Amino acid sequence: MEVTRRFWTTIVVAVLLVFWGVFLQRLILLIGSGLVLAWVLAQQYQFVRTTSRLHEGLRVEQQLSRSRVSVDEVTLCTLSVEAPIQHSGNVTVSATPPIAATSADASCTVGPEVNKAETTFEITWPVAGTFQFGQPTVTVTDPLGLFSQTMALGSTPSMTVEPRVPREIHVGEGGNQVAAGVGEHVTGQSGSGLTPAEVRKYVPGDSTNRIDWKATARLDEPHVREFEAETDLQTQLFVDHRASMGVGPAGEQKLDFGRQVALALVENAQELSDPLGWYAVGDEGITATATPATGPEHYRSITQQIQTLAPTTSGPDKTPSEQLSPAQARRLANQLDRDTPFDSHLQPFFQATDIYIQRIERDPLFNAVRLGTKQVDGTVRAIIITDDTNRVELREAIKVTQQQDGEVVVFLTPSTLYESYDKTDITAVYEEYSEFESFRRELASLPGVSAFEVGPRDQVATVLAAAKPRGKA
Amino acid sequence: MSGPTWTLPEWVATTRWDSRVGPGSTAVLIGALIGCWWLSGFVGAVVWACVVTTWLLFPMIASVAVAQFGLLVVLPENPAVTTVLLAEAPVVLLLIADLLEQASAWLGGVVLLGLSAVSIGVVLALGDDVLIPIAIGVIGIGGLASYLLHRYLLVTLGLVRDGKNIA
Repeated sequence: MEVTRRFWTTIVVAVLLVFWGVFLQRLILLIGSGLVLAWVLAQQYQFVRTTSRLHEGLRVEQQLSRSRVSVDEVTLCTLSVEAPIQHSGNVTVSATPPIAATSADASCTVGPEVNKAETTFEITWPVAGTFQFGQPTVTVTDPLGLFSQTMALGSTPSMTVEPRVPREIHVGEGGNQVAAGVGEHVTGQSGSGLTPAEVRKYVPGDSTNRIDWKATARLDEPHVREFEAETDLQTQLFVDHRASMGVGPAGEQKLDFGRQVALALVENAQELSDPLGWYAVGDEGITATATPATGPEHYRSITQQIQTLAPTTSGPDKTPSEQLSPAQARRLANQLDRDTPFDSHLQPFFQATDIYIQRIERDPLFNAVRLGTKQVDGTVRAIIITDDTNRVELREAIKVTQQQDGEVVVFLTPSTLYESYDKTDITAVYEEYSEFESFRRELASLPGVSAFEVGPRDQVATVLAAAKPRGKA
Repeated sequence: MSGPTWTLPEWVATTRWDSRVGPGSTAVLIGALIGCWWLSGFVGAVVWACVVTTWLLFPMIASVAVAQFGLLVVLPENPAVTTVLLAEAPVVLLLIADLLEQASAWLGGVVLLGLSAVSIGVVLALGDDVLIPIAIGVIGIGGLASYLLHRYLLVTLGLVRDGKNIA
């Protein structure tokens, strides 16, 4: 129980009466002091009784409009209080949202005249996790404001805040989900390992530990068992997080899907103990890099960096556009008619391939892939996670890896699937998706290249369903 | 054209509250006017007017203090016990009426009546000879009772443990 200034004012009056009673030698003033103190005690008794009864009978509720939201969503919370008993106190109830939530102060008050009150307020949830409300803070004051008491009463609802990450990820080819785990690789070699491969005759020099005694007894000659050799494949992961990867609704952008794929690949590499390096590619160039290595700390570092990737911003002169490759330029140049002045002026521009080379070398993804593949001795597997915006650059990046006899796995986020949230013409979306699929197939047909699409499963299903009535599925 | 508005200093405002003007308090004050006139005639009426003015303008406790000083004026130097009891009765009734203006406060009124009776009885019984011990006793017993009520509330609310639960 806290006492207020008013309480102390009353006590001062009582003490002054005592002082003057003693000073003037008059009993009547001491009686006055006794009455004032008796009144204070009676008020205090009344307050204690009211507060005790309210503690037993007060009904305080905090109710949430939803119990599960995504990060940055807003929910409504209703704070209600009901005093089922007749009382003389003033009761103020304040909601106590979790520290991780953001809301305005919300409170409601009941008193002798009003025994029921309710208020609704908005809460924003900026942090993911499960959070529990504290019990509402109930402050009881007496009608004269001499005393106050604070206590915690009422319900404590909880809220689960989910991060804005894609939940239904489609990784596949032409709308078909890929079932096999990405990251496993066949070596085609035998040796010591765990997976049995073949049984062969013992030759001098083989370790006796490798003799398969069952096969030897059965075949009457010493035999040894070979196992699938386990090798480490050096993998370079290239994650594109340029501005074009920021397309899509919050939490379901291209980068969000690409990030999930990248995280799965890192986890897979860790399980297989594959040396893994990585490059993050922004609009200004390489934003993060790590040379291929193993070890829990290395994988954890890459995971953390991938988790914090955000789309970079592109300058006004860096708007991606579909540009011609040298082969396409030469083909078009051949189609030009040299007889017209227009064609004869245009032809040199198509033939000037040196500008093309300079331009490509400035492209961040190409540059990162070139550096990353050169960094590795021997065979490298390049995994590129990007979108279909910079197609020429992607083709050239793949070529660079192929020159190193490397294997390339490309995960592409089709722009049309992410832009289609705002589009109503599903037929047009399907046309764009078909055009993307042609590009993906073109990449997948290249030697040593696997290309997959990555997108929201429901969007892929919607787009493919749109084609079924026309027999295009 | 409006002039400058005068407001109470903050510390005064937080310590001030209005007396509750209700039918019970009004009836007691009208009775007190008759008593004051009976005790001291016109002087008694003036004292009564001072008490009522204080009651209307300031917290009830201020009017009780003014009433005690007023009784010093209207009562003889060594009044009889009966006279003191009659003179203090309106004050006690005024305090009780004020308390009963609250909802569900009849039990508080009973407590106040009992404490008032005990206070007046003890002070009158001990007499003029032991003023200082009485003064210390009044303040001390009042403070102790207030503290015990405070502890009782904390135990009731479960904010502290009572003696029985302490291992």
